[in-house]
Amino acid sequence: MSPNSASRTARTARPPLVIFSPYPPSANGIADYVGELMPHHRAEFDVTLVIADDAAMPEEGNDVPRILLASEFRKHRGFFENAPKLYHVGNNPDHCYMLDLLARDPGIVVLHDYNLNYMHEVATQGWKQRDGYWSALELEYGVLGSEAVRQRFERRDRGQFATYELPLNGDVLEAATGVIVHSRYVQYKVAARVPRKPVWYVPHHLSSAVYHYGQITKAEARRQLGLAENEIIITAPGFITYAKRVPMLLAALSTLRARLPSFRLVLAGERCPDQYDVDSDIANAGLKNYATCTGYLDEEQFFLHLAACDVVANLRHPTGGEMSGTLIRALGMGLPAIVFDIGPMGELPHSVVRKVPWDGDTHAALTAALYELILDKTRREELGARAAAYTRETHAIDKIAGRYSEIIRSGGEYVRPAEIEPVRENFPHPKVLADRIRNMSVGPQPTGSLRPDGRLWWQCAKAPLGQSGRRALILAAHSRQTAEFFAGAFGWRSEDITAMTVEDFVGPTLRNAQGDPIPQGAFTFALVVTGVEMAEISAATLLRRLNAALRRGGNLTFELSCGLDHEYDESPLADSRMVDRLTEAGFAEAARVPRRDGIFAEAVPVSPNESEARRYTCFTARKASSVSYWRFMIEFDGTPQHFGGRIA
Amino acid sequence: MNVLVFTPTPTHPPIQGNRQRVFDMCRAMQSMGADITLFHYATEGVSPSATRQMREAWGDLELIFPSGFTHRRSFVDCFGIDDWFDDRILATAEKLVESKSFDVCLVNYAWYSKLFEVLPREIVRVIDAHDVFGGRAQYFADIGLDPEWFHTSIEQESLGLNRSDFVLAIQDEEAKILRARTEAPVHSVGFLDTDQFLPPRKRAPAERLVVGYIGSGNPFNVASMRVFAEDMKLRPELHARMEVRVAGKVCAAFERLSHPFTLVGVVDSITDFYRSVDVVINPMRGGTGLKIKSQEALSFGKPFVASADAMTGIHSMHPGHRLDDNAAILDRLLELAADPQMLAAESEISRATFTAHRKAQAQAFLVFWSNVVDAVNARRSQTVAR
Repeated sequence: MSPNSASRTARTARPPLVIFSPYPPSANGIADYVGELMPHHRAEFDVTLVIADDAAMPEEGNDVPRILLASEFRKHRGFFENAPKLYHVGNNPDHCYMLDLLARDPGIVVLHDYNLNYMHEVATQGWKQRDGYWSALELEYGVLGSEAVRQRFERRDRGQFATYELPLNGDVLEAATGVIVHSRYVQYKVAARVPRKPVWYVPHHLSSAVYHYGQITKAEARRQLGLAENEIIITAPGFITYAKRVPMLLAALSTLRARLPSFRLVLAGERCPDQYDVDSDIANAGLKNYATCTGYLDEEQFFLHLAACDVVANLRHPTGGEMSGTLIRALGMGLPAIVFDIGPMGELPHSVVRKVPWDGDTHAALTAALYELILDKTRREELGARAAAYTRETHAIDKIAGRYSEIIRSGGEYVRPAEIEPVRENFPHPKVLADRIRNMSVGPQPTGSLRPDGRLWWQCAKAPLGQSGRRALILAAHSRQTAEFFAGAFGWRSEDITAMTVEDFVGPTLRNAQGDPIPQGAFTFALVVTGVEMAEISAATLLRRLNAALRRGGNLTFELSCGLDHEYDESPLADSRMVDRLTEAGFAEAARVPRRDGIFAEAVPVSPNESEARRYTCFTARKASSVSYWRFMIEFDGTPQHFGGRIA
Repeated sequence: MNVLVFTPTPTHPPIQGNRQRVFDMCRAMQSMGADITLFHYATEGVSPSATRQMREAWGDLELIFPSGFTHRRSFVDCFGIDDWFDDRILATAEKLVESKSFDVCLVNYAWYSKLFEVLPREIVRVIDAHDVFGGRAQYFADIGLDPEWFHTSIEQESLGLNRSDFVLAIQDEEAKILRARTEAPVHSVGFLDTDQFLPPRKRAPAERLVVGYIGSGNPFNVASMRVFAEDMKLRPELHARMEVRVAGKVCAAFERLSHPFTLVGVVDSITDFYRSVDVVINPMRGGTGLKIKSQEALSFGKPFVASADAMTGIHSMHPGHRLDDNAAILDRLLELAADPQMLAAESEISRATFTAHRKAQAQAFLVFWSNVVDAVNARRSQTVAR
């Protein structure tokens, strides 16, 4: 698709809309979801669909919109600058390509899964970028994230890794201009994660295919699938994973086996042998002759299995926050379904699904529910009829598509507050910095002091260039001179800089030069130049207040110096432990600055305030988390002992 | 000012002395306002991350590989000055000067000076010699070793050096030798590394003195350490007073070294190695070029005990930095072991020596650069006049 033809189409009356999503024939539930909504979107909008460069190309047809590959979109993004954008994001590899695009071209995110950990893992680890995954977790969760990922790499046991507790969706949610979710459960979670951002609840629509396959009789479906006509069939649709609680389902049926008429459990989906050995569990439950695993099913086969079954078991724990599209389809087909009474599925009315509480007695409750529905045909039929009526009304696709239209038309009005915009800074190249410093001294109006505190932070260009909306905090013994030099060399306006001594910053009351309190998260950059000889409580306060002063994602440059008379390895800010200190204080990507990165210092006329007979080390980091932690170090009998505590 | 830098060694990662040298010169010129175009002939191969780092550091990077090129041998005893020159370098250089207007071209190593042939006359030509390569075979033969790497005759080296407008030597002694071999002005500019002084190691009162040595596997290092170990054996009274930690690739040459030596091997952090020792030694005998490990030890501000050969190119009046032989080095170590109070004073001397050396090198670079700028301006005015 050339931009010229896009241009021609855009001149039509319908407003433009750019949708980022996998699309059929990609084997992806979200692709099907978007494919089903597409005719409705196209009736209202001039749709451009952006797919991954390596995605299967949709076949041309009436329901296929204008298609751009992600790389083509990047090339022509200016054309779509003002078009509303809709990102369908799910926790699988087909969505990785959206991460970069979303950061550059924000839009409304349809969050199909609350947990995006696996997608990030694939987007980084999948390309052998282990550091990228580590860094993403550290940026999102601070020391907790880095510790979790460290254990993950050390143990090499993915099953032990708490991905459900670390949904890793911050970058996506923060870049979104608004978020559409399919459950109240996720709506509340997202609203808590990104307050002040619109989060719309739009129920998962019911596939139109239900009306077609709903015509097929149970007997006909069983005949086509080769299933026995007179057995009770319990179907668990979707990937066969542990989280679908297949072992629990097998245990319940094993308990009931002797008390039930002839039955069959159909696991209607693909095995995931790397995560869960279903065959061994079936054998252990003594259900080898009662269970069938179908493998991957195309849409027709999938609906035939729904048409053929008597009871649907749609169990999930833990939940990644996703609403099951297969469950909505099953309900639309008029099938009685058993679900756990938690997460998005727990939001369905009691009259529509048979809910099993998730507690200490889940096994007994699940067994009872299965027993009841298997034996009582009338109850099954009544529950199924209510399910069909409910979903065909509440989840009707034209109603859902209408809701999308309203949101898309209103979503563009959302203005992102500056303080939650991601901090993206430009650090100058050392050559540029050297030129700027020389210009400071020879320009028509010299811009002030060339006597900064510290050496490495400016020689290695570890401060960002000034830009609109940015604020810097400078903490140094000669704070005024250092701030003047910083302003001139790095192009900052003096009114965007707050400068004070470290002693003032860690003092009992923290106020700026005008006597006003310093608000939390006010700064995008902080520079600290100090000696390592500092009382422990002051060092703890310094790091905690730096964390509080910086915006999330804000940069910190921390230069330390010490005398050369003895080792300062037991000082609270000893350079050997600074990376750990910064990480524990809520900073990510903490690293020592290699001195070789610096400019040839004699090329610029700077006279640092300190004498040369000191040791200088410099560290950089970014604020990742508001959780600031400090391990107090106390000596017992001359041996350092470490114990910690969170500072209030 | 646009500067084309040709180098057969990458600038990243800076893990060897010659890489550090090329990096330092590029960074110093860049800091003075020059726009660098790095033309790298990848004789050692180059990784994607190193390529990315070089592009980030220098902006313009031209990379070619010596595919299928084999060194020629024009003379029985040595190489001709252009024997290691791959003509593909000329083709690439030609393209570069067509696409960009350069003021200066700096070529690392005289045997790549043939590159100058394709440059317009107005470009100022500089050779960074790195070392003396003319008559090198004889120098190696004098101490019973076969010459390694490139070596040529004095006449051939002169041929190469005379193609330039300026020659950079890495130390004063070599500058003197090169001045006798070329009509071009020779500037002596050593390494421009900055200080990274360490405080003294914390030690218990009766603890043995920890002596450190770190070196690459070059034949001079191996031979020097072998002799030092033999001489140490003859002084059993020292064995209880000190431990000698040997680190770096030099360790590979020794299966084992008996007490009081410990072979540490290649270390993860050079800083941590220096932090873990009380005093550093360099008992080098012979050797060519600047003794980068001596400069490195001084840059950490560690007490330093060295032979006169190990301090070639580094000015120091301190007797402990210019000892005649291993016996004198061992005597000095014994003194330090007996009186640890001397270590603080020795550290101060090392720091002062390094600071003075660094200042002198920085000054030498500024003089060299101002001469180059003058030459560029003179060429420009000649061009305008024509």
